[in-house]
Amino acid sequence: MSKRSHNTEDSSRPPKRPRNDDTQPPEEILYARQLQDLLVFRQDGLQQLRNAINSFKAFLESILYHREEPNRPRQLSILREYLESQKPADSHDLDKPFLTQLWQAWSFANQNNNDHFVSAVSSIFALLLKVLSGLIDFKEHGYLLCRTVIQYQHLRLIKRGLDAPKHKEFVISPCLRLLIEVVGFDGGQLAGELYKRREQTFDTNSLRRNLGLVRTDEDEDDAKRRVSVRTLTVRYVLAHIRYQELGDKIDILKQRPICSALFQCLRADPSDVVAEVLRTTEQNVLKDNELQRSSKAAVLTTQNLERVLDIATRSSERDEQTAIMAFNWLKAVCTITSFGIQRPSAWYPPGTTNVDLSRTAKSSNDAIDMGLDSLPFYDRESPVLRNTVLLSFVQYLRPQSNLKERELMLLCFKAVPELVAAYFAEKSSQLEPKLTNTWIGYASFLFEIVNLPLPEHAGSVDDEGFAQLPPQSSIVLESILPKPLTQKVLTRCLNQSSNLITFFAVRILVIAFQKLRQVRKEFTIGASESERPDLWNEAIDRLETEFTERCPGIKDTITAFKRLPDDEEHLAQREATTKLLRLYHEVLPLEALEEQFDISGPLTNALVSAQEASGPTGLRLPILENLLAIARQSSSVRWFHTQTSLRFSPVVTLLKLYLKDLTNRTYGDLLNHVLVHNSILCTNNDMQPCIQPLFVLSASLLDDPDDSVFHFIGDCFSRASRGPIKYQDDLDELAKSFGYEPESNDQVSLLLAVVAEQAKFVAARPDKEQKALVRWMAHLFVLHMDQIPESSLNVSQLYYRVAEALPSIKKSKTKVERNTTALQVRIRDLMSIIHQPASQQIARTAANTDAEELEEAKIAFRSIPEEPTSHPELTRWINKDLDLAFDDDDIAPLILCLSSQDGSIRQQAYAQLRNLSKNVEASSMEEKQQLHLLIAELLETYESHTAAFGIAEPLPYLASTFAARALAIQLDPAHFLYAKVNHFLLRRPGWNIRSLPPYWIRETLLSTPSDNTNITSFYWKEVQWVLEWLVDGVRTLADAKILLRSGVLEKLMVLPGCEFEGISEKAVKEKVMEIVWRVAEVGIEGADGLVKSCAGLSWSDIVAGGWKKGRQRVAKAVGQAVISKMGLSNIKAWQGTKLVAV
Amino acid sequence: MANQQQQRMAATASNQADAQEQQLRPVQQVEQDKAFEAYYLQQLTKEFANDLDKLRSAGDFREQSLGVLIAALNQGTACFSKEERARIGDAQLN
Repeated sequence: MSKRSHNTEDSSRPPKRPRNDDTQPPEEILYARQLQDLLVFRQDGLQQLRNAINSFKAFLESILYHREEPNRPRQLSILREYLESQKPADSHDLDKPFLTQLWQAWSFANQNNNDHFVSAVSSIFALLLKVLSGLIDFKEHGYLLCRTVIQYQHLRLIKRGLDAPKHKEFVISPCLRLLIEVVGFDGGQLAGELYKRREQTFDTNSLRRNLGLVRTDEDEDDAKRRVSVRTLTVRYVLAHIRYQELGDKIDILKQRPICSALFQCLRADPSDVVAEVLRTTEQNVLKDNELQRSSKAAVLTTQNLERVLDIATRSSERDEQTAIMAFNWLKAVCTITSFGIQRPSAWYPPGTTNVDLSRTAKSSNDAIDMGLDSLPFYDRESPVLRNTVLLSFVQYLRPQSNLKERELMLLCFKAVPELVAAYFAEKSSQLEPKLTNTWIGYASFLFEIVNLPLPEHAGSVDDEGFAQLPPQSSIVLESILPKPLTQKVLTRCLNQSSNLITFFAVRILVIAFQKLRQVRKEFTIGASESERPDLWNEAIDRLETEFTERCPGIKDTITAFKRLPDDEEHLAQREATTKLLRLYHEVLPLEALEEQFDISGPLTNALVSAQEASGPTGLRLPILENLLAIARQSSSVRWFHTQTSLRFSPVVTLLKLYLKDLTNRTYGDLLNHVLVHNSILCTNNDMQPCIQPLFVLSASLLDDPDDSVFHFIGDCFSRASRGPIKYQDDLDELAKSFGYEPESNDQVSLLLAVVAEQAKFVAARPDKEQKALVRWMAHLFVLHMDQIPESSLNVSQLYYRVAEALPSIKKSKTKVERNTTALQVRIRDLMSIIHQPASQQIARTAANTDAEELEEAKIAFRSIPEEPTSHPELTRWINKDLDLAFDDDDIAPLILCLSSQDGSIRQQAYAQLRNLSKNVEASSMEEKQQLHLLIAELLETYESHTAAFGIAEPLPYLASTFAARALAIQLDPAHFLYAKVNHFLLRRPGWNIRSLPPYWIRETLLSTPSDNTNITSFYWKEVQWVLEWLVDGVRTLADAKILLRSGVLEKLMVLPGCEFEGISEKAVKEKVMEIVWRVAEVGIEGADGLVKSCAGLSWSDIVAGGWKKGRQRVAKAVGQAVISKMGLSNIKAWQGTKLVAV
Repeated sequence: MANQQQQRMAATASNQADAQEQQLRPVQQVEQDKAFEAYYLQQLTKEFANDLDKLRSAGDFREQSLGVLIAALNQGTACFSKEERARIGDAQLN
């Protein structure tokens, strides 16, 4: 209730009685003597003293609030003079303390119960101390006043004031203000002294009562103007917490009633007080690392957390800033372990991670192994909880209706996964389906619970990784399908008339199945690292059984799916339901087999729709993928049978879709699966995974041939699937007739045999169709022979058979073969498209650190230089004197033009170098012989290279960069490699490019240096030169292949393990890493060679292990570059950790 | 009315998605995700228009219910893999 307004005319009440006192207006203080005269205590002159106190108050306020800035120095001088005059002659004389007159007046008023006078005197002391606190020159006087305050006889007066009856706020408040000033004076220097006298200054009962004196009927502005006793007491307690030393702080926090009372009325406190409470407790208690957890826990009781939560989420009139602050405070408290109440604990209750193996049955032969049942605690006892406070706090939250509280709860569950099972163990609520906002809120909350990430190491919080024993399946299950989601409830949800309820249930199940799959993976890793894998495997089985008992049968999902019409209005529901059906088949295949589900109809419809729309769009794409994944597991799909609604058979339709979206793994994998499973395409694990028959088939169809080709392919597929033995016999006979082993057919697809057989019927087709088919067949055979050379002999024979029936194919074949560049571009494009998702997948699945590592590699290593679009260097040297051209380094870029991808640039460079060679020979340069020799040998090398590999093949950069670097040496006879380079040049008129790197490795790494003066130093200089050349030289796949085939890489990769003397270890190691990185970067074959021939991945790990932490990332990044280039699936396939699609 | 509600829901959902976007991701990926979320929510509001109307007129509909409902609808994006989100989002952007 607010105070009545002065102007309100209220005739029902008698008029206020005028105050009968002799109060005078404050007197202006002009000199110190005036103060001395006024502030004198006489028993008969209390009113005069009161007037004087008012005048002093006005004077002090003028100083404190800077009201008279020009007079301020004079006022300070008056104050100083007055205080000096009040100093006691003897500081130990208790009878005559500092400001004796005022203390006597307080004592007298106290004896006479003159509360108003007590209030006036105590207020003036508080004000004076406040003024002195802000004036650095008055520090001595401030100390003197504080010490006077903490004298026993004065503290007694204060204590009396603090204990005054509740309604006498005017007595209590000034005493609290005075104490607050003393605690905080000079950064809390006297706080300890004050706390020593806690009987008077920190009486628990008194403080607790005062903390409860809250004004509930005031708004924020009133509260600021008339500060309540509670607010002052809160500030006093907080000041103690802020300024006390560790021991006293612990002592204060032990007084639970005070800690509790501090938060009790938080809801009614003004915002600034709430902010102060939260800030001080966080900064001075929770973040104080010297305080023990038990002391911090005094602040963090469940009740206190609930009161802060009221401010954060449930108080509508509270300003937003305070609410956010309270929410952040709670988030920190719930998630930061050092704050006191959060203890790390996931899926293992204390003492359940290990067991004494020597006592288990497994180790003794005479006992029966009971597996998990031999563990006394496993799935039997209600688990011991480490975070009881947090549990009772989360029980208080309303996650179903308040999103902020849900966020807080999920944070708690994420930080402490043990709470999930414990929370649902105590909650009895069920998710009975009913279309209400409460149900939706609760269902979405459960979705979030299931969607929580898995704790690391299957919930073991030990630093050592996975525990010896698996976590209890009953605990894990609550995180996958919480208790309210019973089979009965979920089944009812799936059979609801409300689509929204069914949809929510389906989504929860989808996420639960995905989580179960993740848990299974995690358990498998746990089993591989445990001494008792049998227990882990048993735990997986047990978990899956319990999951199956809790989730509804597949038939309910099938029913729900059948209810959904196949139209635009039900796409999201169809997507979710098909995903759930797919997960049933993939995660719990045995459960899926319980109910027959004919996928053909929905699949055909989806294919028809995709075919009409020239590819599925929006949610239709995942629906089709889900149906295809289910169809893969199903035996009822007739892949090769053409249906009325589909233009082609399902497999050909799928092939067409795949050709439009080659990055789609679902399409590719399924096609491979169907065609290989039906023996139409062959497979061989020894082959590079990318060079599969499907790859060849796809490459042959990239021209988007007309439908007759696809009809023909469909027909061939159908024939091959119907009579695989017949066509296999044909192939075997063919092989036999040419004297090949039957095994040579291992890599020949039956499709080719069918095509060869059907070729004679193609001859009878109309011209247009025949042309299209012949063209496709030519591509198919050429690509087969080119990409799978192991099968080329047998495929050639099949080709001849086709050529007999269709002579026009010879022309087409020649055309295709002549245009090798186009063919290679086609293969390269296809490979890059097919491998795109793999590399993207790597980038996506790799943690952030991996991305950072790759980024770091890019920063650490120079990117491979790209060829410029213009080549001014071709003619730059002509316009200069020969000497100057060499000095200006114009020749080296010209030499590099021999490696240009553009044939005309290479020809021009060759002509220019020839001219240059003649000019050098005719010049008067000192080094002309050596230079001429070098350029002549380079030209000779180029000529022999083009003669061997064709004019289309550029000179490898390894050769051109070597020549460019050797040129610099020839111009500098003092160079440490001068002798060796000249020796090399004198050996032969041209260079064998493949032998170039091994030669220089032999001459430097495995030999002594030419300069014997300082062997170590020159040895490393030479090695470094070679390394720098190799880094510069690896720019294309051709360069990488030279290094891989010549065995140079293996020799270089030994270097990081060597002892380094006389050179920076980093200089050598990083150069080697850069060479390896470049080999991986230039192309998939480089990465492939590194993994398969040089154990590049293990090597990068070993090197990383030997490096300091800061540089480890660079080494790891090389491994990452290899993985991203080659594709994780290919690596796994090669390692044998994953089977290639069969 | 239903359209306005859909737009409001989409706008609020988009803001929530922004707030949750704490990790730094490539701009393209963020745009794809946003496009996917907008498309997904629009699809759901279209599919469940009747049920959503029923919820809006239900007795337990409070001030906070709308936010909870939008969050509930939107959380389904977690069922999609990153690749699926990127692919569908990308198709929406183009």
